[in-house]
Amino acid sequence: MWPGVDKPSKRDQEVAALFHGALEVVDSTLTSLYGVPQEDAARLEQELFAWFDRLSRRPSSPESVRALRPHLISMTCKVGHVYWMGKADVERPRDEAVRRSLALGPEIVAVELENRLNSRADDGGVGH
Amino acid sequence: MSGEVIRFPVAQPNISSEEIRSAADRILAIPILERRRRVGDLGIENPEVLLLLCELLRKEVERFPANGRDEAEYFFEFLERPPRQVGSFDEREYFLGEFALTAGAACRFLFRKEEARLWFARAEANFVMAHNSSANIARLAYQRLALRVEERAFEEVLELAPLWAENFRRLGLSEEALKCSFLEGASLREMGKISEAVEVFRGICEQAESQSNTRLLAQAANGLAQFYRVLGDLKQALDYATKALPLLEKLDNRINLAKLRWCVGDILREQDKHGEAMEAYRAALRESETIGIRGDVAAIHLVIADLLLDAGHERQAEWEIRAALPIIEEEQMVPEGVAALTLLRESLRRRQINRQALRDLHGYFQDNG
Repeated sequence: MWPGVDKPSKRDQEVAALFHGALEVVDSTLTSLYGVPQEDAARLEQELFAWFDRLSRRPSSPESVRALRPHLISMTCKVGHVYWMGKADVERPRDEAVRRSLALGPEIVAVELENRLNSRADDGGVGH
Repeated sequence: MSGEVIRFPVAQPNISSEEIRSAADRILAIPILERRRRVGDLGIENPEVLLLLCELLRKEVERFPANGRDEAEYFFEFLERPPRQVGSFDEREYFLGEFALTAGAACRFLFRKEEARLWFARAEANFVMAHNSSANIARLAYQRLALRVEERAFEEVLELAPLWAENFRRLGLSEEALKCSFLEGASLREMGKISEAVEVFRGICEQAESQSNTRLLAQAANGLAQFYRVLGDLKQALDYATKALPLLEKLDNRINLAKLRWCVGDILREQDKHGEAMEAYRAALRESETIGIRGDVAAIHLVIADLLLDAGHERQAEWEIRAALPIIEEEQMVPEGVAALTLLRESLRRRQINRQALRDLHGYFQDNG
């Protein structure tokens, strides 16, 4: 007989709440910073949620749910970046903001976003 | 940009947690050989199922490490050449790393040090390509450090364990940080600094209790039972053994249960309850044989031989030693105990057991326990 595992917990609900709280940022990152068409972005957001939900259950994930947000932002940027990597040159975006994101690389874009979210939270806005 | 693998997703069907559990149970119920033949139609590539399998195997390693190793190897091989895409983004690399880490941990429990090292290298090669690689590499570093305890590199462990504990705290992994203290305490105990080891383990107990972490509390209480036994405080030793026993039973942590029974045998022996001590040792031996921890099997044979010599049963003691020696030789255990091993083997040949060599040898094993 194989051992049991813990049932879905309060943490799972907190993870879902964190994702939904960050959804606007995830969406604008994909569509504005990376210029992903809305239809593809919606599909990727669904996948990001499923991935993030599983990421939160990895033993390597931080115990604090709040500390998971940078992982979501970071993966969103990587996904936006890789979205264009598979495209032929003729399909590459012309939009300046998107070209900037691709030139900087997802790590730097993620740090910028996280800093912006933190300062908005410090000012009493959303983010936490 | 990092070299992390980002694989774009394929649609996954939504399944409930009950369905995930029954899918995992169904897969595990199929013998590995048959599983290899039916590899394409078991749905193993579902990331929810794989995540649950990882969790189940981590627990299995503490119950039946040999089984945990075989299963982890199977899933690792499956993921190397999956029939369909596995999960989204970094998930295949993460799962490859996780199963390799689990197989390595199982090998460590089984005293297969070289194999453990190979699995850890495989884990590293995959974790570096997965998201949050620093935390996964840190977990790997913990396993490697635990292996260094078994290799008796205590100074190295005492230097590195606090560093990794701090890293884990910074990564937000407090349980992993606390686990590093186990390595520190175990090393202090092996270096004969038992009072310091007791302090470290008492600290673990306090923190584990405050975090409601039954697993670490049980292991720390088990360790304290052993330490107090060595200090000669048999009452404290029994108190901690009594505290650890129901927790370990509840967790079904059979490796630590076997070690606890061994420790209880030692306590009873020191109380001159030789018959009861023998029963406890035999129970620990049976448990260790069942779960396949050969190092402990060899050591307990030697301890039983020592007890039999006390009772004047020289021939029976000889059989126990003869049962232990092939394991010690095959597994190339206790490199520092080679002299004692040679003396013991020689004394067996003359059919006059060298008691000091016997004690030296099982002393090395108990240190490793």
